[in-house]
Amino acid sequence: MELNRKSKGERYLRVLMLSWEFPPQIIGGLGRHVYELSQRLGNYGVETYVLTPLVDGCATYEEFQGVKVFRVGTPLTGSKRFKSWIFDFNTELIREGIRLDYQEKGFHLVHAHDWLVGYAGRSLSRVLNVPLVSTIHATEYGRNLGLHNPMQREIHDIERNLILDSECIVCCSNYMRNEIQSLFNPNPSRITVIPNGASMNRYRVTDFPPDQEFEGIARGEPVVFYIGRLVPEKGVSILIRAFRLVLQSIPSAKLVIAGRGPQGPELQRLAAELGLGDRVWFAGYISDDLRDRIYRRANVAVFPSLYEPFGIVALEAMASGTPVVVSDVGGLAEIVVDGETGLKVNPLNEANLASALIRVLSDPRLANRLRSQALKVITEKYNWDKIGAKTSQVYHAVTSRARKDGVG
Amino acid sequence: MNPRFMLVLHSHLPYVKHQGRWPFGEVWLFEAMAETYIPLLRAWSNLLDDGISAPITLSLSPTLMEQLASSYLRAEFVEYLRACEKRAAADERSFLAHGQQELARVAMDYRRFYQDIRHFFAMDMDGDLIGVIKDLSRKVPLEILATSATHAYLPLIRDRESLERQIAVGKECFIKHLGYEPRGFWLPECGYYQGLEDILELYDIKYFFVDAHAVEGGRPIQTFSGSHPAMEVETAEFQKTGLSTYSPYRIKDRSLAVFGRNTMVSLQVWSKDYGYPGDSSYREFHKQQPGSGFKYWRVTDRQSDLGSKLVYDREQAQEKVREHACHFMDTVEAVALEANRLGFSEPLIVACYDTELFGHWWWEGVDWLEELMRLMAARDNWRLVLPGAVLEEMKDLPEARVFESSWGTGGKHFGWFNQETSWMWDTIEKARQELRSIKHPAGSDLVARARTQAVKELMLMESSDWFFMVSNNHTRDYAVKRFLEHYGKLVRLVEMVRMNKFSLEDREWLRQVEEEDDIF
Repeated sequence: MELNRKSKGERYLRVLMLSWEFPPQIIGGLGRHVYELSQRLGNYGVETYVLTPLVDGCATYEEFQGVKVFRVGTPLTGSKRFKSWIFDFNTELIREGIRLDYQEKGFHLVHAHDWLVGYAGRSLSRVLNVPLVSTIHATEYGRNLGLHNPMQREIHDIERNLILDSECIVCCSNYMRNEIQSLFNPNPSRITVIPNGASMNRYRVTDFPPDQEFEGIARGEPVVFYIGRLVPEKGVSILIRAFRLVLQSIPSAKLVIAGRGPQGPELQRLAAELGLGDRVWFAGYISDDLRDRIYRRANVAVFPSLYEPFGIVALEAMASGTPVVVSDVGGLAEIVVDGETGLKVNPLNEANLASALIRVLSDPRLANRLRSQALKVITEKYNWDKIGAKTSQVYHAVTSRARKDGVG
Repeated sequence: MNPRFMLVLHSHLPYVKHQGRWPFGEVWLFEAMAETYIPLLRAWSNLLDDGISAPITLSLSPTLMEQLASSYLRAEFVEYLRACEKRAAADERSFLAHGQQELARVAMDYRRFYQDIRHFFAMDMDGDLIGVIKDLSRKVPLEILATSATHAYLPLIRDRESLERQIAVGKECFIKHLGYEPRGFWLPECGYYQGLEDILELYDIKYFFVDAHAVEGGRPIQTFSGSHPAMEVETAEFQKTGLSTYSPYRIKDRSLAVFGRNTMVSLQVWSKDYGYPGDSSYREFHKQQPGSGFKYWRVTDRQSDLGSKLVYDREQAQEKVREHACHFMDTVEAVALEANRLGFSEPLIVACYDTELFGHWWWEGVDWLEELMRLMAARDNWRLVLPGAVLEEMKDLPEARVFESSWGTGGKHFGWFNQETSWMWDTIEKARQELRSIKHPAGSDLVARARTQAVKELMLMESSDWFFMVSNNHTRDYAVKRFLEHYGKLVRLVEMVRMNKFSLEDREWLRQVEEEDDIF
């Protein structure tokens, strides 16, 4: 006879974390988030097992500083329809999650990141009889500013059911909390806001001079930097229009647009139509190293999004010591205190955006103040250790509640 | 000319016991019981009271029989009826308070309807629907068909072991509830492929049913309701055989007989465009009173939006029921004449429907059936027949080969196998491999119990319902959730057997799952 696998007096919580992205597979901010979070949880009495899709060239099992990472199913690239792949992946997560539960000592909870692992999270929570925690990084409704086709409606339903079946829903900003509450109406006490973090050491690039030359940036040019996907919700077309106004005051300014996306060709056409010529550099996809160097070189980073659940890019800019100008929407509005840690502008208002950029570019004292205040906030608030601590508190609360209710 | 009419009603609901209540789950079963099964049995007993003994062929799926026999569900059903009665009464009061007499009258009808059903179920039926069916079969010529255990769509279950289990367990369940061996078998969704006979014969099945195009060839009729968003329907085209459904056939080189469904009589009821249920006087299915969920309106105009529906009028609807029964009688007369012209002196017209169409989807459907039986009985030259009796009368059946087919969209397997469901079939194959890996487990009683339960979970995954719901984007989330939960349970059970380790918690969980998915 064996005793319960999940004995109650244990100090450690074993968490099964499900994510469809994990380094080196990074598509959005989710993979990096799961990586950073899982690294920190060990310090707070949590043993983390991450299940994520198989990636070509990666081992099926790896350990990163105590975090056990299992890659399951088939790689996303070159496989069948995306939708079939998602469902196959979910069945593999269920299979592997249960196998691990038996081979290891039994999990205390399941943590699912976004709808792509929703079905596996719900099924594992039911079958293993443990609570489900889910992190909602963004919603389909928000990403598309509405629901416009059957696929989007289906994703919306999957999000709803994941949220309603979760003991605790984690999101990264008050903005997201309100969005989730109004779209899905879960029990409000089940939503917890834990901000995202920025990793300080990665952006501290000091071993090269600030006024560096790049392929697309000449010495002495004041640089405005945008990095992100090129999709309408990011507001890049407004940025290009505003930059035309910036050039009227600061003719030597340079706009660097890094990233790829379906809107790319349209944006290049727009820049050409406005006659911006070599004042705009479309850098395309850039390496992390080049990104950090450009941050170091840039005079201002700008994120003119129309929808932004959190805005991790703004944190990255702040952590690398670049002053930021952001739209006053979503999570961005919560990160930046106007005039202290950055400047906030109305989305959709190009004149407003242009004048904010001109202020930062032409006022070094303002730029310095924004930079140092931002670094201070990053260290104090958006710190992965704090996020790890808060998340582990959620785990402990949820599992002790489950025990009281006679579950688990 | 002496035409013969065979009414075949196929009754099925997936296993929803302990798997959610409302909006999806047990309430599905309760609705079918209250709106279809009980009214249908009452209609046949009314007919009997009037001296009309109307032969009927019923198929009862094992998942349905297991649930009808469950004492838990019987008790819950009575509570459900009480709650419906209360909601109707509350609507009635509220309508009266707002001076809405017409609506109040419909609410009163609902209140009485649920009260009647409850009395009838609790008193006259003693809560035992299967008992009532057995009892009826002593008074009325009635034939009951077996079907696959969890209503698996058989043409896509090509794994021999799974296929045989679906049929064997289906038959066992039939015997368990009815006490005798089945002769006929309902292939779920009329899904057939050449080779199924081998197993049906092994289990002493004498006959089964297919759709018209399986016998006649040509293009399948498109009567199945349901939309396939963003999917191009594949429609099969079959070679014309020159055969018709006016006679049963013997499957070539086999002892089994096959009946083909009649196209014309199916269309008349099922067709979205000119089927009876869409008539302007009948109750509108899609518009519900917020709060209570009752339906107070008539179709009015099929094209009009839900806001412009008129209040339901029972007398007007009953008028239409009689009209449609006469119209149907004229239609089958015409069909019989045509058959006669082709040389059939006793043409057979096989009318197969899903039972739940009547009453649940088509509120007046049961009344229509009752009215039709009265009309049929009044015609001296018409005979209502049962499949077993037909086969006994006709010793030398013509031979036929039957096409691989179904009564679903496109005429073949599209409704259950398409780009939306292909991953589900892959998952079923994975589940089978898991089961094969513990084929001969050695160990305790716990090992045997866990393995048995794992087999049940596989069978529950194989229910055609999940595939149908996903394909039609109808309560898709419930279907996927159920499917993946059964898969998860199976994986855990297999893992327990493989490790042969059962902690206290495992044993408690096993007991819970045995109770939750306690089918067969």
